[in-house]
Amino acid sequence: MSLVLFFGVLAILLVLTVPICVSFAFATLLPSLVNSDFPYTADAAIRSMVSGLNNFPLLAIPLFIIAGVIMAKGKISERLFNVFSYFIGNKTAGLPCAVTITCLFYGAISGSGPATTAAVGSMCIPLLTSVGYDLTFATALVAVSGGLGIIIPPSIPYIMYCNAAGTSISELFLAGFLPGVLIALCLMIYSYIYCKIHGEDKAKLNAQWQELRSRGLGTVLKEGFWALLSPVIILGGIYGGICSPTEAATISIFYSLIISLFVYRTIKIRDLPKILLEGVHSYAPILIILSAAVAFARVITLMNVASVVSEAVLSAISSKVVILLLINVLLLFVGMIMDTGPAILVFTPVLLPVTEALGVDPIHFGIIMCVNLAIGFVTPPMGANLFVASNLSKVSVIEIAKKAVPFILAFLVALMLITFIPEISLFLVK
Amino acid sequence: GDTTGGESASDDGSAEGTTYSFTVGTNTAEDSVNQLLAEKFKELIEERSDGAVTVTIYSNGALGGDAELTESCIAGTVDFIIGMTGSLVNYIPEAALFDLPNAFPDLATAREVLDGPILADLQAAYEAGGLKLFGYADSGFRVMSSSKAVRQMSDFSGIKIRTMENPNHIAYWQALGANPTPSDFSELYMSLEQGTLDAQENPYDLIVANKLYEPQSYIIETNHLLHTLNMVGSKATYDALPADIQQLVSECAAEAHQYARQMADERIESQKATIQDAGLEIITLEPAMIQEMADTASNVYDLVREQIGDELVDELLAQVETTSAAE
Amino acid sequence: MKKIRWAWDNFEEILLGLIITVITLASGLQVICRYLFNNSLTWSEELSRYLFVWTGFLTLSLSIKARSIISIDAFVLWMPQRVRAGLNVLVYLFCAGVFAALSVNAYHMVASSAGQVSPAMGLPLAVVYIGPLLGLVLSIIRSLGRVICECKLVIRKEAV
Ligand code: NA
Ligand code: NA
Repeated sequence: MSLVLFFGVLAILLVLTVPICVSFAFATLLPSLVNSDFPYTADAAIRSMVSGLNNFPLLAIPLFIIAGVIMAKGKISERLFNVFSYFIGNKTAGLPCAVTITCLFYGAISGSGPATTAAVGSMCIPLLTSVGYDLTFATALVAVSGGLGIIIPPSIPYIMYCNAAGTSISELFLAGFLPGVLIALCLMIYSYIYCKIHGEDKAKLNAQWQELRSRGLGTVLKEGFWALLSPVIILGGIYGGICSPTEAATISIFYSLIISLFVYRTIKIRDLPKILLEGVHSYAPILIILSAAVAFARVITLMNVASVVSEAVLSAISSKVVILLLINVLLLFVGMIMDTGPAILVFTPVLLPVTEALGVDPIHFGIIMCVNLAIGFVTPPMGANLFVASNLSKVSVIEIAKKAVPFILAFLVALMLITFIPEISLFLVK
Repeated sequence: GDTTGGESASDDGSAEGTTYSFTVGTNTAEDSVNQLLAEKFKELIEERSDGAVTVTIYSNGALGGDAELTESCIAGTVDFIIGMTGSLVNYIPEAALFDLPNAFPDLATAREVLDGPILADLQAAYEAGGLKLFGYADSGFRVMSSSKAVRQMSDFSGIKIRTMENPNHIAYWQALGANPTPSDFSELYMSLEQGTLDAQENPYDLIVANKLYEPQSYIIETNHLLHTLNMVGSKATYDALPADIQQLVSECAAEAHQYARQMADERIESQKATIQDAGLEIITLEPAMIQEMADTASNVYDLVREQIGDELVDELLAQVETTSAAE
Repeated sequence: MKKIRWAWDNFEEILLGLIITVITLASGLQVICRYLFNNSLTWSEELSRYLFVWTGFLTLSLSIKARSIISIDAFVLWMPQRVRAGLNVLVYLFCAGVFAALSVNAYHMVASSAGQVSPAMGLPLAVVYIGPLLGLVLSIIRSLGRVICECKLVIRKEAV
């Protein structure tokens, strides 16, 4: 079956508002419908969908989403945010920058972009809108910053890349720190520009800030202590050898429950079913897409899409700069239609030999690839962070994506620096 | 495998001019014995069939993880898969034979036994599960990597070791006094680095390919299980092939397995060097201690007998005995 | 009757709430057993993964019922409400068809796993694969429910 027909049908289904998971599922069935010799049948598709879910690290997504809901209901988020606002709440773009810093912070807890978006978004979006920021802007900010979740270690995509590329996970983890900070800086610069252009509700912000100041630093820190401790507990859990990254999500559920129930007394036992229900509704639309994406990736593999596309891109050009640029373009396109995990599994073996021949360090290339795919989190149609964020704020995916464009440009600036200055990735490693 | 009519293919099903394209799936990285086996098979069969057969290899789990690959192969979606026998147990119960701890004294004995009469019995068992067995390769024995040294039996006590989700493996480490923890492979490196787990067990090939030695201080040559791996074919695919192609598949597959064994031996030497260069100590155990380990874990033998009956177990043990005595 | 109606309307929510509670408790218990008592549970990760398989397919049905299933509506925003309702009828009929095709194969998966048990818990794998089948069958029903709702919108003669 021709690739043009295959992608054409997929595009038509998506445009006609067929749900993304159903479009992907149908696309996996399509080649065997057209050509009965095509080995990937409906039986195989359902097997792939099941095996996509039969995956322990993915469990972190619903668990972190529920922990995020508890933190929001338990007003842990508010106290954590109070500490940040105390210091920068009166500065231009102070709060949006605090959101990005929080994602950076959370990235060190979570190995997944959507989980970071969920955890930070459920606490930050209501806060930002309550002090006058545009809801769509706040949602886009969180969706893009959530990509830091996979750039700052621990990171599930890094582990997948190392598996496919045969490189060292500990080195790739180390390599991720500076790029993560650089991306955060670029995003914060755009937030600053946005706030300069669109202005902020200084009255509301100042009222909130004055109220906070009047309580005194001691009180704010005391109130925020248990909230500030939560990343310490979760990071301490992972780096202290107590739990695996996925189990850390469970720890964060228990920790935030205990704090909210018994220390802050912001939620009661009888609120728990409601909290659970809200969590369930938040992750409900996401999981089946991840599952269908696995089946979709199998078909893409069997149709040799990776080699056809990359050969077409790479055949004519020999310049390293141009090829790296083209690979970035290719990966950005891949990030639009495929989820991170399957994309890494499909494209690492195809692209790595090319970049190695060009003398690009495999660790450096892993960072390039994951930064590209982190951008893919916020590019439709397949943008996991968009889906999560859209669920949190009820703003449509397309509206968020539009508002995210300047953030993506800031991310692209960071991507270019990371691509052409290998030292940003390799400085800590070597 | 989809059989595609070539240019001169006629409709009466004559094999003349018909081309065959096979898919081979693995769940391992390209730098692995599995991959070498796959590539050898491809090279041999494409050459000897004069281009009538083409083989496409999909590595890194691109066609699915172990369970998905096995089910796809039984269903005929994937024509051949290369993996360890451990992932077949759910479909071919007899593969639990390779869960018998410390059953083989050395590689030479193990290979001779597996090429011997027991192969035919296992082929029948695989066939009943919908798979064609062509032979066994291995990437040496599974060894233990650990942050704590193990030099005597008591050192196993309380070590948090990651195992596969396999009741026989779990029972073995429990019997030795360790704390077996079945957990996801993708989180293993991190868990070892952070000390959530102390140890894991795998063949050198996987330990080096996944850099699992980096966060560890010792390799202990427990040699508890032979890391048997093989290329199995879909019975559905195989039965649909004409006799001459069947013959060719079996022949090339058998040769590829022998080649994989050679490669495994060569690789293990350089892999050990890599590990030692990284500052790890490789601890070898006295035969007496290995015997003590097997005796301590004799309940695993009972478990396996419960699962697959006495016949195969006795046959294997008897052949190990005669083979190692003859050497 | 009222109770049955309530249970049916909230079926996915109840099941999913229970499942995620069990996953959380199992995983929490594992951390405690491994870290405090150095005695890991051999079943907790397997149980969590299998419950996650159930979760994935039940959330499909839930997201159709709750109208939170994700699609790209940017290109049809210009359509009048009744035309969109008409399009939705076709879309959800199509969804029901895809789910029906998949549930036939999910049924094959249940049937062909007869006799197989999971490695750690010894749980029949058929129990695991019933989750996808259940989720898909519920999804067909919820899709058809959605078709009926949208049909009413098409037929209703109100000013658009
Ligand atoms: Na992270
Ligand atoms: Na995307």
